[in-house]
Amino acid sequence: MDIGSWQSQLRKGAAELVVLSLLKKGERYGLDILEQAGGSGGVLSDGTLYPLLTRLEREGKVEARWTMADDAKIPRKYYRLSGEGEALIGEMQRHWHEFSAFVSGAIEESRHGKRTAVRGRTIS
Amino acid sequence: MESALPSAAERYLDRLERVLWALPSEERSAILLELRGHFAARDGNVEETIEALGPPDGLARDFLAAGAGGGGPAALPEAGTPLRLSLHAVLSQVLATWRGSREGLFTVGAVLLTALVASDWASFTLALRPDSALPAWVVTLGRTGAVLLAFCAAYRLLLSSASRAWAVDLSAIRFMGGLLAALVLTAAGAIAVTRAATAGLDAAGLSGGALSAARAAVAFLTLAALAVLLLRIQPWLAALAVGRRELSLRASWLGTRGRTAAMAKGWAVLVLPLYLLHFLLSYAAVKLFPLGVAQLALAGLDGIVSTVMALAAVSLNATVFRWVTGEPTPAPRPFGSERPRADLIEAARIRLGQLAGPPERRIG
Repeated sequence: MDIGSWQSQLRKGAAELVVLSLLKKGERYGLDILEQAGGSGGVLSDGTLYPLLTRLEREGKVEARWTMADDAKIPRKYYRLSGEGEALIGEMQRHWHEFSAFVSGAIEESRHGKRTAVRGRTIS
Repeated sequence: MESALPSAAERYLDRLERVLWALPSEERSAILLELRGHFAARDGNVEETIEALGPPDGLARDFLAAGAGGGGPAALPEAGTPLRLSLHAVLSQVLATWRGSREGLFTVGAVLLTALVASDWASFTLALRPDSALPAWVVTLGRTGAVLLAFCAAYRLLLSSASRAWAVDLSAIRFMGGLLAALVLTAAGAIAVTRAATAGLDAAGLSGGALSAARAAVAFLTLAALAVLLLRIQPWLAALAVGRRELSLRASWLGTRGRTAAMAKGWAVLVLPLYLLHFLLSYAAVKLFPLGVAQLALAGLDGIVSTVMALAAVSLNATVFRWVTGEPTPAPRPFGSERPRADLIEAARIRLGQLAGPPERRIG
């Protein structure tokens, strides 16, 4: 199996959640999002962020505005959650917690050979 | 006002602008302005920023796939899916690819023409006067080196924003090695299959016309199969030339699945007739005329034919590369030579000045 391809799919799914979670704290511009995300385990990069923001804006999950600081030479585009995005991020985070708990449980079970919690659980 | 970025960043944005040509101008301008700000904020780390952003053609593809311009993900064909294109559509796409870098390709054409005419003339002379002081291997080596270098430069001009199209760096060496290996292996395969088939036909007791026809059929089928194999690895070779190592040989093979017919149409019209003409001219030069000025004239003609053929082949391969990666074709060169950013930024500043309101006022 191509581990790189699998990782790429994982990152794509997580990137939207990371960006929306960061915007939940307040409006940010592109580089600010990248810096707040830190290394982000490769989830976000300069090249993945801007197309993602374009999609999120297009889908109405975020809103954008341009500002020009007094000493700046180039205007800056700030993003913030839209009403729809606000509603969505709560749902996404809840699903993510359930999902990650399920996956972690499955991994732990396979490591220790326990027949415990994950059996029979489903992700809503 | 002018907001100058380092030249590498300007080249990157110039290429991105050209590849995003299909977007509405306002949307394209907004993307470029935001990335201009990104480069400026990164403050000096241009090479790292470019590496983090990825190739401009790939970034453009991701913007389009993200729905920029209203296209949505369905606007781009998924790699590996069948691509049923008419001959007209294939030729139009190859032309669009060529137009994206036509000035640069004139230089490639000039280098190819010079090298091919000189090597043709030398080859014709050697064939008619074998005792010449010039060793044949020198001619072959010179011709091969010039052609490989020119092909590499052509791919770079067609598929990337590389300013160092002629640089003999690691990518160029990988490309040359890959192309040579592919050609040698293909030729070896063709010889092996043909020999095995001939032995089989002899053993089967065929003779006369039937044997000749069977041999010709085997040779034709072998060549057709190997030609398809060579076509399907062309995107990988192009990727080697432009340093796009993420496009592996396997990805090239899988990405061209279902697209061989479209590729073959392009080759049949753009390359094959010129190859036959090249063969006829070479034959005429060594078989029909005594050594003299005729060889020079035929070398000139053959050089032109071979140069056009090489440029057509590279443009077609670059088009197939885009089919595999899903990257859009850039706008014709004159579009990219415009420099609207200073006006754009000034317009944005004026608009912001007019608003002069609280930060929540939306203009984008």
